[in-house]
Amino acid sequence: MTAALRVARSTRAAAVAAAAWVAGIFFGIIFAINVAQIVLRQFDAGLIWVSDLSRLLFTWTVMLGAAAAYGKREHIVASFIVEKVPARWQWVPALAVRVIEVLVALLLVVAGLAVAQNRAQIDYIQLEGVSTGWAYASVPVLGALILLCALTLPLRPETTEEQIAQETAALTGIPVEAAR
Amino acid sequence: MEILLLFGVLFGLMAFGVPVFVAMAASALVTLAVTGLGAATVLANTMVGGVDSFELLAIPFFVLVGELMNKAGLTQRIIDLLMFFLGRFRGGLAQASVGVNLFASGVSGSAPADAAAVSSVMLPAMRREGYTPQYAAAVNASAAVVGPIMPPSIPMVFVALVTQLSLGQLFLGGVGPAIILAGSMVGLIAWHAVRGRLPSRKTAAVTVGGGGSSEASAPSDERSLGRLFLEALPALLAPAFIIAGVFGGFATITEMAVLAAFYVLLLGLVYRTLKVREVPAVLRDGAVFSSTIMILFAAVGSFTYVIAAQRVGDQVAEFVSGLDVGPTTFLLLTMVFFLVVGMVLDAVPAILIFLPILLPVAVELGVDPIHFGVLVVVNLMIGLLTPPVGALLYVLTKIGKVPFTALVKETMPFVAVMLIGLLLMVLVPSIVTALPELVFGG
Amino acid sequence: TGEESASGGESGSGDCAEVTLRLATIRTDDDPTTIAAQSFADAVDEATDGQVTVQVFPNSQLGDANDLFAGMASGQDVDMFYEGISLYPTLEGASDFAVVSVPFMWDSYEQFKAVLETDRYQELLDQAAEATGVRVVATAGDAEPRALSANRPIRTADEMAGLKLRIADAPMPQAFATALGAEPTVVPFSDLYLALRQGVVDGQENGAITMVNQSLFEVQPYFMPTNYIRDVRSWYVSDQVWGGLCADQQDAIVEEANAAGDVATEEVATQLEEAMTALEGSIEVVEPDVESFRTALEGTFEQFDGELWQEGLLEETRQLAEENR
Ligand code: NA
Ligand code: NA
Repeated sequence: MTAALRVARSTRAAAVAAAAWVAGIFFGIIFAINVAQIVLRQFDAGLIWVSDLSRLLFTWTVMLGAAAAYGKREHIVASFIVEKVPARWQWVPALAVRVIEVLVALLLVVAGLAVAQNRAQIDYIQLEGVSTGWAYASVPVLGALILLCALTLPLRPETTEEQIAQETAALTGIPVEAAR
Repeated sequence: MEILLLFGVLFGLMAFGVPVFVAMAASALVTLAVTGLGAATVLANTMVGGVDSFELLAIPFFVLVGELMNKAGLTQRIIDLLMFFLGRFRGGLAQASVGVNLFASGVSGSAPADAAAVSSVMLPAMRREGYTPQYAAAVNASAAVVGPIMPPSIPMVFVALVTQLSLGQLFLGGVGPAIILAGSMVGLIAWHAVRGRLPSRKTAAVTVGGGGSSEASAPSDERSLGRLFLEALPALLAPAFIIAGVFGGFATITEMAVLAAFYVLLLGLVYRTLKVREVPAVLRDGAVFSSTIMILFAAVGSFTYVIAAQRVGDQVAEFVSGLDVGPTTFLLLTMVFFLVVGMVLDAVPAILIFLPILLPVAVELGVDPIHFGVLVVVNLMIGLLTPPVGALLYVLTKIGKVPFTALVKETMPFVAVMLIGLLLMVLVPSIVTALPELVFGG
Repeated sequence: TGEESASGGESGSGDCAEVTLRLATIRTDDDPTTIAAQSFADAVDEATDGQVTVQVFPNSQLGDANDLFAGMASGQDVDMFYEGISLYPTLEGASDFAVVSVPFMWDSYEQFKAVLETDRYQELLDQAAEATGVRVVATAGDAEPRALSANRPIRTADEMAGLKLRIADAPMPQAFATALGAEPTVVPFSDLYLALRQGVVDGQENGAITMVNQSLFEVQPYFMPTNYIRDVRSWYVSDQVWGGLCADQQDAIVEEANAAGDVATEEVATQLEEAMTALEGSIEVVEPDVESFRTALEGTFEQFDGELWQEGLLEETRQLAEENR
């Protein structure tokens, strides 16, 4: 049991790192082709496919980046009520949240696959033979990565409090409350 | 009723600590299922639709600009220069933040993009200076509101697209309101300073001038203006470079963000404050970080769908035309309405859904259409600061690493003074209409 | 409607049950397409004694054209869409219809509409409906012809050389620009005004109504009514949904779709006249030498025969156009 969990957890770590790197690489490609576009256009040699390819890669950047951020617990949460829950009961909201996340992720996988398939008959105009379904395929991937993380991440409520306290202390040398 | 369900589930889940984008997706799914409006495929569809837009690329690239400017040590130099003028005053850095935003707004058309670019530069400096993180974040969130009100403006373009008003007139109509809003924030910060809420350079225990600059320990106000200016020049040239690029016809509004990132990247590499092998990691972190914002644009798409499919817009128009009111009362009512809408809806969908319905009613009552269009944009930009759906709050809670509720609390006074400004614009239409009439003729 | 969906097709196989149809447009409330859609909704309600309710969703509220096509193909989320036939080839199974956007194919809306109503084109429409799951049940309603505006006057095809032209994201305008030595550029519609103002691009190829409604005349001093690509608005219906309607309902829809198409045509005529008056009063309207364009483009579009559309269809369509002139 623990061995299986260990494997699952290292799989998660690898998947999160890979998602983050692929998102970064796609972002870099978007960066490069758009700079090339701006430069080449000055020589009347603009690249007509840049905006379509940018949109396709951007969709993947966002979905993979969001998956990586989920794995690193970096998403925007409004934790104001959870923070008031006594420590020994914190697992209750944390569990409820996790269940909701798992359900939404499952639906993203199922619905995302259906939509990607459905879009297969609509191609990009400027990317010959590339189906817009490829953009939609990023949704089930996001769902699958969230599932993997949700099932293997340790259960604790997400709050931004600790993060801020550490950050502020590092910057000012004074704890948050005292700085007020 | 379905709308109550939609927002009820959203708020409930958010309060429980569900990540905002998951809460949005879940509440849209629940509403779709209960009302039979559509299948779960709507969610997958609208999520991609929400980010599948070339224009949105500006946001991650401005995030990247901020990141690179910090890494390359350029931001510190700009702030040092601004502090030469403002540093002697209490709250000088907060005032500088408004100034930098007003400067940036002449270049950018998107509030979240402005907020990302400016605040990732200003926040570390303000916090080193002794501002509380939530106050610093609130100032930067509020100051970014002027971005899309001062031309160029992405939401104004949307208004022109759906109403067929002249974009040129809408743009010019935004100048007066942008100045009023900036003025109201400067006033509020000055008031805070007078009441001693804000640190001044003299009293702050922390040294300024760290970051990437090697002269970290030298207090900047002992350096000469000339030297500060020279050091800040490459950074100051960044906006100039952007303005030249755009007005010289090299790049579109969207590409401008790419160009700015490229410029700063080159600068960092030339000054060797940034090493080539560090670049991939910067791109990776930038991609992951901006995705936490962009995924909200994705998730809000399903919301827009439900609201449109429920025909909330039509019901509103029917209700409004049933009221027997004059133009000013109508304007005040619509402003209240858009404030409520702005709480729960992003600006662009709000424009898309409600403006085409309400504009004809306004014109019928004798309201100047440019006045109305600009007021709605100003209103919805203020709405970017109102919880629970507020793009600027999301950006700043993230960049500022501040709890959402704390940020909301600090932002409210700024929202209040801007609402007073908005009221002024309602009652004195020429704040909006004078400039367009001067240029285009009445 | 699930059971009938497999067969789909012309004959109404469903019972005459009460039904609500969601009709989308991607244009503003006072655009001719939306006005016609609203008139269609009212007329269908009356013709079926309230049995068929049509809800109109303008302004891309239910999504852009791709979203709507995908939704109709899968029989989910949207049932009808009113927009030009030129968008049909967005769907792979309707690629033949790319041929109708070949520049300078049509002299008038009436001619174009007549060709779409020939047996040959009705056959193509049927095949496309089978292949895509999206059926065109009526082709009616004029659209403003695509024209040209620029920062310099363009009288002949020669003067197109080097023009940075913002094109609609579609193959034919791109081929047109490339063939004449212009530089086709893709700029999002919402960026267009500023891109023109700043000179990122020199010109664009929307018609007169768009020029006026989007204030493009503020940033473009010359307008050339080339009328080089025309369109016929078409009533797209999800084939699954269509199969679920009874014959009476289908007949009522076709009839009212054609009638509403006339509403769009009239509205386009009015708006086009107003727009031309506005343009003539504010910028220079330059009459282009259309013959020089035709000559310069000779042979250009044959390269797509058997590529974008089935082999021989270009010649066939030209023939039909000639017969219906
Ligand atoms: Na601006
Ligand atoms: Na809000």
